[in-house]
This record gives sequence, C-alpha cells and structure tokens, in this order.
Amino acid sequence: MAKSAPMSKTLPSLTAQSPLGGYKMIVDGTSLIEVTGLSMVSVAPLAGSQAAFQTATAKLFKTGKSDSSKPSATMALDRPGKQRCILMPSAQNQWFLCFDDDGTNPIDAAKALLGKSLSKQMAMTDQSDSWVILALSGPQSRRTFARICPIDCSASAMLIGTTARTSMEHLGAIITRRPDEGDHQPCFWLLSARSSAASFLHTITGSPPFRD
Amino acid sequence: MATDQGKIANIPGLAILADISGKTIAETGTTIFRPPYTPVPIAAFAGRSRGKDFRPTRLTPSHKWASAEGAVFVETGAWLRAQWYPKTGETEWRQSVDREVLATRASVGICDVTTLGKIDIQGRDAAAFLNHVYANGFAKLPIGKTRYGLMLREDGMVMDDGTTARLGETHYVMTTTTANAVGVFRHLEFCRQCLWPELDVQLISITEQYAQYAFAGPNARRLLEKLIDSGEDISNEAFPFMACGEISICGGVKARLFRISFSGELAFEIAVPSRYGDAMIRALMAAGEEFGVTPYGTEALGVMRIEKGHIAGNELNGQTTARQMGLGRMVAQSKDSIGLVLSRRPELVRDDDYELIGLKPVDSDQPLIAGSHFIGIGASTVAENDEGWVTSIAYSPHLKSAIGLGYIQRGNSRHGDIVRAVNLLGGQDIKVELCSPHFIDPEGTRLHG
Repeated sequence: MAKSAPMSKTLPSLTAQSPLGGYKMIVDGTSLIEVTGLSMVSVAPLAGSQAAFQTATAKLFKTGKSDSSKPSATMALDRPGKQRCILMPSAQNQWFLCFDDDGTNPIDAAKALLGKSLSKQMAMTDQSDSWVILALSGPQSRRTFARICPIDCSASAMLIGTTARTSMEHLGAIITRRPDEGDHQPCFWLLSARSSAASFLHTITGSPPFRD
Repeated sequence: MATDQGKIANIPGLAILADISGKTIAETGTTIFRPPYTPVPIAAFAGRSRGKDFRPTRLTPSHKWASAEGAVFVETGAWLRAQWYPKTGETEWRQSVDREVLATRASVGICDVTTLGKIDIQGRDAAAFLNHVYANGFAKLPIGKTRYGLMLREDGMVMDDGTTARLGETHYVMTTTTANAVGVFRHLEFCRQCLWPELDVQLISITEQYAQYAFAGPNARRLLEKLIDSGEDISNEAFPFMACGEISICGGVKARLFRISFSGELAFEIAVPSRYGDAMIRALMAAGEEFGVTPYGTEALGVMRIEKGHIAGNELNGQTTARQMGLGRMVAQSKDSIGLVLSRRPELVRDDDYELIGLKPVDSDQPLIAGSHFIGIGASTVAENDEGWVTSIAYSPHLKSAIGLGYIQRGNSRHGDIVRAVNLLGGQDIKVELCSPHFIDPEGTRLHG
C-alpha cells in the first residue's frame, strides 16, 4: 500500500467481539466457559524445515530432543508457566500455536516465539478469529461427549494433551484434553468454527450435565 | 424403495409377476419384507432433528446488525445471507431490490461477502501450484495484484471461479464461491497431497478468520477514505483496479483491501479479523451516511452481476465450458493445467456449441422465467427445436426491463436475433431479443474510475 501525506481526521474505533460474548455456564460443578484472549496461529513447516521446527519447539516448550517430546500429530505441547503457550496438532504437518494475546499482531508474536530466523521456513496463518473455544471441565464433563462425540474421551483413552480433529453432532471440532483442574478434575477444550458457534453451543448445552 | 420400504410398489410388482407367470398373487408368494413392517410416522425418523437441532447455522459476524436492519435472509448452504433489506413502506421484495441497485450505482452500496470461501496458500511453489490449478496463468501475477481465475475439472468443464490475490513472494489468498468453498478446498488438498506432493505448498481455510464487505459505487473510495489511517493512499493511481494489500484502518486495525468488483462499479472489498466484523459494518454505514450508503443483499448483487454479464452459479453449473461462457481465451494453451487436455475434446469445441448471450423481452413489460428454452420463431415446441436455455433472469431498474443470461447455439453471432423463450411449466411463450451479456458499462469506465 502506497503512503500519502498524513491527513487529519477523527476515526471511529472498532470494538472486538468474541464468538459467544464470553459465555459461561456452571452446572453441578461442571463448567462450560468460552476461552478468550488467545491468539492462534497455524504453523506448517515448509519442505525441508521439519528438523528446524522441531528444534524451535523443543526450545520453546523446554522438552529436550527426545523423540517422545517432538511435535506429534496427536499430542499437544504445553509450556509451563503463567502465560498460556500451547502447540496443538491440527492437520498433517500443521499445528496451531496458541498463546496469550497481548495486542501484538499474532503472526509477529508467533514468529518471535519460534525464532525469527525460522519464519521464512514456516507457513503461518492467523487463525485467532476462526474458532470458538469452549473449556469444558469438572466431574461430569465426560457425560457431555456421550451422545454427540464419536471418539473415546475416557481417561485411559484420552491422556492429558491428546488432541483429535473430529466432529460433535456433525459439526467439525477439535478436542484437546488440557491439564486437570483443581481436584484432579478433567478439562477439555472444544474448538469449532466461529460462524456456527451458536449452533455448537446449542449442541453442547443440550447435552448432559447441562441438560439432563 | 424409499420411505414405504416397498410396501406400495411390492404388491403391484407381485401382481405383474403373477400375471406374466399365469399364477395368482398368493401362488407367486411374497418377498421378504424389510423392516419396519409396521408403519412408522416420518416424524419419528426425524426424531430430535427439528428446529435448532435440525442442522447448524452459520452466521456472519455482522448478522445481528443485518437482523436489526430488517434483512430477509436466505440459506446458502448452512450460511444465512441477507437477500434484501426492506425499508418502511416497501411491501414487495422487488421494491427493496430495485432501490438497492439504483442506490449502489448512483452512490455507494455495501454487501456482506464474508461467506465467500477464502483459502490461504503459502509456500515456495505456491505460484506453480496455482498455475496448475487454474486454467489461466498465475505464474507472473505481481505482488499486490489480484487476478480472476477459472478452475477446470479434469474433464475440461468449469469447476469454479474466483479471485486470487498475491500478498507476498510466497503468499496468496484465493476466494471461491460460497457454494463451492468446501469443494474447492478439498480439490486443492487432493492436488497438493496426491497429484503434486513434490510441490512445497501449504493450505488452510481462512473463511472464518475474516469478515469481508464489498462496497461498490461511484462514492466507494470517498467512503473508505473516511476510515483509513493517516498515510494510506487508495487513489486510483496508488491502488488501481485489481490491486490488493494490507491497510491500516480505524486507528490501527490491520485489514486486507482488494480492488475487485462483481457489480461493474468502482468497488473494494475489505477484510477485517472476524472479531471486528460487527464494528466494521457499523463504521462503514456511519461513514457512508453522507453518501446515502445503502446495504444490499444477494438479490441486488445478482441483478448487478447480470446487468454486467458476470457468470455465477447458474451459468457455472458444472456442465458448462469456459468457451461457452465466453472465457475460452482464458484457458492458457502454453502451460499445463487441470482440465486443459480434455477441454480440447472435439465435442467441446464445436462451431455450433452453446455460447453465453444476454436477452431481453421484445415487450419490455413482460417478465422472463429462468429455465425457459429457446425455440425459433415459427418452430414447433419440441425438444428437437431446442436451441438453448435461459440461465439467469433479473429485472434491471436501469433498463426498466427484465433481462437475462442464457446459452444458445452460436450465440456470439446472433446478437439482435429474435427467438422465443418458452417455459411450458410457467405457461410462457414470449419473444426475446438476443444481445451482448454486458448490459451496463461494457467499456468498464465505471470499474476503473
């Protein structure tokens, strides 16, 4: 975009809205809360850059270089600490890097996290506004999946970090098991398309324990 | 067998069989019935799939705004799109649509185009990838430019059309039609993973990521100039037709701007992260107040594209070729692309092939019916005399007449001919004049303004 001489005018400011306006519901200790304030950038290593990507993620997530800790197609990586930083598998050779939104352009922030030297070796796309994320946690959270989710989300089948691209009541979804909360209560993040967020919410709140 | 599971068809079938074999039905015997043996109400099959449980709905970020404006929505796949925005006193849809078309061409109109498919394409071989996927050339598209592209299936028929913008050295954004967004993405993934795995290309959908608005009309630029940040220049010289790029608006929001047009007017499309979609439409409407800005829906969009002679789903229905659409020269012969070889099949390059034409009723008071077939004056109304069909129709408030697009054999050489448009279902048989499909501004002076 070409630049011209500065103009003096009053501009309206644009107010951001989350997909569900910060939705929150708690039933018998099981909660469904919209996750907000998160930037999400898809990262796909270009040809020949997989090793560099692995080195960068090992450094970012402090996982070392063992095979079991490299970015996988099924397990998310979580950086310890107060700031959220998660690497979630999203497709073949593609991950979503999720981190706290501090107002920085998400792509610039993702490049800073992975190392700027790596930026030309990765396809990076802002996905921060593409998804609704609902955190489902509490003692009865697995009951929610029983009818509307085709995959096994039991404790033994879905370990902490396990991430699956699946569907919930015919809506495309990503389910990732987050670290337990409080008194060993399971927590899941449910991701689905932003445009159908209201339908997604309707599906989940129409399931136990939110509607028994 | 369908819902009755053969209960109705079975008995006549057995009776015919018995008759042929010279037996009674009882002697012939019965088949083994499929369950359910006892009739079950169809509602029971539907079960809980009713109302909101029937299927998901996709809403654009400015849906609440459109609802408050009184928009009448139409289902486009799972999306709800505004068809038109009735104003007080308008009792019939055409009143709203005519007003929206006239206002847009006279000043400026805004249309929510968020539902168009958007695909982010990156990688060192992205240009080569696009050059194979599209029938026309993409290898030399400069950074900061958008190009209209035509995608063929392997059988040489047109699959989809849309624009692709080059945002960086190895970075492109493709738009698809709303209806084909998923199909095109799946096709691209098939090409990437199965046909050319050696190409270094990554794809991801960004349809959900951006709220996108088209604003068209002679005041489109003046409207946008009120919202862009200091230092941005969208003059015709700095940002000409088919330009694209990142732009800072409303105090620092990073948007993508495309100078593309479906209406034939001076037009832009602006894409902002979805979180700002609701605020963006309100800001555009407020900024456009002094120009009498008018929101327009899919019907007005359809009228303007027909007035301009742009093809859409009715012309691009999976059974038509680029040549038939008048876009044969876009299919580059100097490079390989999907569909190129089979688009050269003799049957697809016949001299008497169907060609896209415009049409208008000889009596301008008469309406047109889409799907009508062309029959010669004086010819009997039988399939053998069928010369083509009407694909799209609209009432043009500018021409004060119904207008249409259609395919007719040797159409390009028949402008000025009078034929009949016959619709036996609609009970219509009228004379129409064939003409160029470009009803408005064929020179494109408005577009480049």
